[in-house]
Amino acid sequence: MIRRSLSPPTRLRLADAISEAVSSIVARPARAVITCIGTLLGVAWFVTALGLASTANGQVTTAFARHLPTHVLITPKGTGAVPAASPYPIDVERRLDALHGVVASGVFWRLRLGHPVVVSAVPQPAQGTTGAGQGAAARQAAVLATSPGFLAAAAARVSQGRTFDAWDQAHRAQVCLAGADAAKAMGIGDLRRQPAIYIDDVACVVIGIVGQASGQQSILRSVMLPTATAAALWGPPDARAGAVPAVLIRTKPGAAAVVARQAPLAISPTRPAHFRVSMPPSPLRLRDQVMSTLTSMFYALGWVSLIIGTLSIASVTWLSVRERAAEFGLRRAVGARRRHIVAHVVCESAILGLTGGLAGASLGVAVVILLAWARAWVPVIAPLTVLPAPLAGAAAGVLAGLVPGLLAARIQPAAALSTSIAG
Amino acid sequence: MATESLTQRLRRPPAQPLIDLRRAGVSYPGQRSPALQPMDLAVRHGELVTLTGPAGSGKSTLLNVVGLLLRPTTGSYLLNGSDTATLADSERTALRGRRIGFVFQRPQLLPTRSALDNVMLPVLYAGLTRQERITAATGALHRVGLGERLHATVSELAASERQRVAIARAMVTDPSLLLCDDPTASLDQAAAAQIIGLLVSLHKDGRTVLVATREQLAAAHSSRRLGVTAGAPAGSPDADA
Repeated sequence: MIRRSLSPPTRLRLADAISEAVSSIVARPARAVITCIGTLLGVAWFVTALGLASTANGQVTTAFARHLPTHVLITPKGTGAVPAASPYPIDVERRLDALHGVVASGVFWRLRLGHPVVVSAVPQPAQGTTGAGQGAAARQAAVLATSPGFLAAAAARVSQGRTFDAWDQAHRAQVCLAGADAAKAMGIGDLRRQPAIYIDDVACVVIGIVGQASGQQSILRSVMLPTATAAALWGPPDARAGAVPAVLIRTKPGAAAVVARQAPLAISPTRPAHFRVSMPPSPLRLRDQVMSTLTSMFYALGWVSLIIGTLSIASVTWLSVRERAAEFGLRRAVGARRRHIVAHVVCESAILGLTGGLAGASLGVAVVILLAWARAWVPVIAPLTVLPAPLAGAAAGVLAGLVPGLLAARIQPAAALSTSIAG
Repeated sequence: MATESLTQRLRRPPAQPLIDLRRAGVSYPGQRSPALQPMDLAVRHGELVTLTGPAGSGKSTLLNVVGLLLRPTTGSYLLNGSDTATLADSERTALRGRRIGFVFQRPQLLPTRSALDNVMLPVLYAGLTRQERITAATGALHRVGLGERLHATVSELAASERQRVAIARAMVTDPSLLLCDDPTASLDQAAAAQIIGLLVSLHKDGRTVLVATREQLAAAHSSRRLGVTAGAPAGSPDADA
């Protein structure tokens, strides 16, 4: 028997409250599981939503990276003292290639002679007898004077033959490349017959057909010849006729913006403002908007699921409190204060929330990994979203237990004990 | 005396009745007849008083008022000379937890817990360590003859054993006032005799015991018998003394 001071109010240690809550949970495993399921699903979806948001962001970034600009085009602002003077130094390609992030660079200009340039696969008849359809089609092909670096910068790939080399450039060889579309239009298909293209009645042997040019699709409809050859045959580019030499630079993904800033200085440290730099619009802003929208949507879904989980615990706990009115009445009758009843209920729901949170976080991670695996994505799960998830479950449990706990504390023991304690 | 606490007064030798009901009655809103007619009742320290009467006569309501589970809606209730109407909820709770033991008509045990766990429940709120709680509960169960059944779950216990567990739970805090609400209602005669004998022995230890019962056996051992009919005492309690 114990004899203790009667004055102090009854009290309940935290450890005892937790122990009692655990005992109550263990005593009703089925109800505990049902209560946990709400939190489990809520937290699982919360983690899944945030995990999918991170994973989707990674995928969006990867997808947009493929569309980042990798080409920069430089043109002179003024026409200069044409046709003799070139706006670029002779070693312009070497200077640009030395920049970090530059893959290749090259000079090119469209051949303009002050009159329509006739391009044909056969010698043109004397003036006045033109009429062949073949010649009419060939006139639409543009003629480009290009450096070997330009072909590399345009990522040109020949489907037949070869590209220019230093020998062709040095010896001003009368050779040319035909874009696949231009070659088809002129009926050139087999290079073993060494076909020639007549440019303004000057024959140039076709040494290759360009089948791909991811950096400059327009060259597939063009005929290209070495810049040295073009200059030797028709002189330097005549700006007055509209032949403005330009420099095409191919960069590594993501480096275009930096290269665009540095290139004018590399070409002419004293007159960088004399060059116009242009590049395709960057999709980064669009990517940021897409990612922001995706993240906001997933976060909203995550929070909604957590709120639904909280309400689920609250409803089951409330039903549980109603069923267990006699038990709480008994506890009140034998010395439990109202706050002890609140603590008991909140501890129970917090423990269930924590348990559901742990299971839900694990399930959420598994779902993200499985979904990513099924789509061949790289799963991205931020530890900051997973590790606090069980605590979020516990917090949801605390919130969910407050109202049922307060209602349980208001149970009148005399009335509650008129019924038997539920099993 | 102004600073003397109720607890100190409870410990003081009995100069006044332990229980003093003065025209105390209970009515519930919406009910035409009161659950307990206004009544006077004085019970001195150490008495064993039986309340007899048919079901619905108000015995349980009376015990709930005396056990501080209900507040009288009319009149007053003085516990050891202190008006219980002035007590805060926490003080009423403390008195219930430390000085009043209650045996309900139904044992009201936590069904999935052991006998020991059930008896430990009141001392859980007394601020004792777990070991102290186990010691107190084990002693109480030994006292009611269940020393060998400490870890049996409630579902494994017979009806009379469950009621003995309930008595052990009521006395584990060593209360000075024991209130029993028809504790033999669901027991056979032999088991009822055991329970009554147990209550009589607890009374002989010096406790004040109020038993609401239909058992003549309990009435035979009581120092006073009070009949309660239709929510009111059937005559002056003192006349039955």
